[in-house]
This record gives sequence, structure tokens and C-alpha cells, in this order.
Amino acid sequence: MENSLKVWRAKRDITQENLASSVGVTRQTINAIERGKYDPSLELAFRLAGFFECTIEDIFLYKGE
Amino acid sequence: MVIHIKTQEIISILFGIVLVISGVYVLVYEPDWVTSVSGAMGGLIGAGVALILITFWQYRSRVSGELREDERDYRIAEKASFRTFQVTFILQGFLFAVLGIFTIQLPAQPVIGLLFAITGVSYVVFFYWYRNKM
Repeated sequence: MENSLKVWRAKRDITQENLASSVGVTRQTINAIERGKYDPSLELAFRLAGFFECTIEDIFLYKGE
Repeated sequence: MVIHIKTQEIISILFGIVLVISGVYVLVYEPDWVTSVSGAMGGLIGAGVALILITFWQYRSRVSGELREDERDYRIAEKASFRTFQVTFILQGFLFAVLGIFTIQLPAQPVIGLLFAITGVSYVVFFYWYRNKM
């Protein structure tokens, strides 16, 4: 799964720490998602999309096998 | 100062204190029914102290409101637990087979102690390995 979370965060000019506290996770989790090391749960994906006021597909791109 | 402690935390602390007191009792009175005083004492006091410290750590985290673990940590713990289960299950099966085939008689405590240590070390190793990977 690819994502453009870093781009969205840069657009809003917020830190990983601020985004993490807004969506209720740790900064390490936001960092892991941005680096593509961790795929978030559907619930967290919805919370991120809600925070940026966009759809999940705007942030996450599923690349099938 | 108001202390907001949960019932579950009180029970954990009380259980920890009971374990420590039991360990001290074994150390002081050395009852006849205890075959290894040092082993029983170490296990009881260690478990009691660990339980009390973990409970206080969880209490502090909860009261401070600081988020210290989330879904990623639970996922890491889940994977580490499963790998640890695999390692210990295979090891115990192998040990069971070897002891059965060669009819080796071993005292139970050192064997259980070794498996106990391997379980702990395995979990810590897998936990940090997955934390770096995820």
C-alpha cells in the first residue's frame, strides 16, 4: 500500500506529533505509515481522511498483487 | 491530591504484595514443603515486584493522558506473541520427544526455568525485531 500522508501533512503544515495526537496514535505510528512500513487499520485510515477532509483513496493507494 | 486508581489496578497491586509477602515467608521460615527455597523465593518476589511496577507504570500512563501505545504496538505485540508461541511450542515438542526417546529424567524446575527464560527472551527479541520492521 502506498500513501501520500506526508504530502497531506505538508499541505496543512503540521508536525507528525500534532497529527498523531489529533487522530489518537503515537508519532512513531505516523512515521511508520509515511515510510510505508505500516498499513493502518481501516478505522485509523478513516480518522486520517476525516482529519484532512478527503477520502481514504486520496491518501492511500492500494496496489494489488 | 486525588488518586484515580481503578479496581483492577488495586487488585493487581494487592496480588503483587501477596506474592512478595509469600516470597519473604518462604525465605524467612523455609517451610519443609518447599524443595528449593531460593527458587521459590526468587520467583514469588520477582513476580510480585514486576506486577506492582507494571501496574504503577500503567497507572502513570493513564493519569498523565500521554498516549504510549496504539494499534501499531498491539499489532507488533500480536506478531511477537505468535512467533514466541511457535518457538516455544516447537522447542517443547522437541524436548518432550528427546526426553521420551532417551528416557532422560531431569528435575522439573531447571527445565521449566529454561523454558520460562527462552519465552521471555524470544518475546523481547521478536518484539524489537518487528518494531524495527514495522
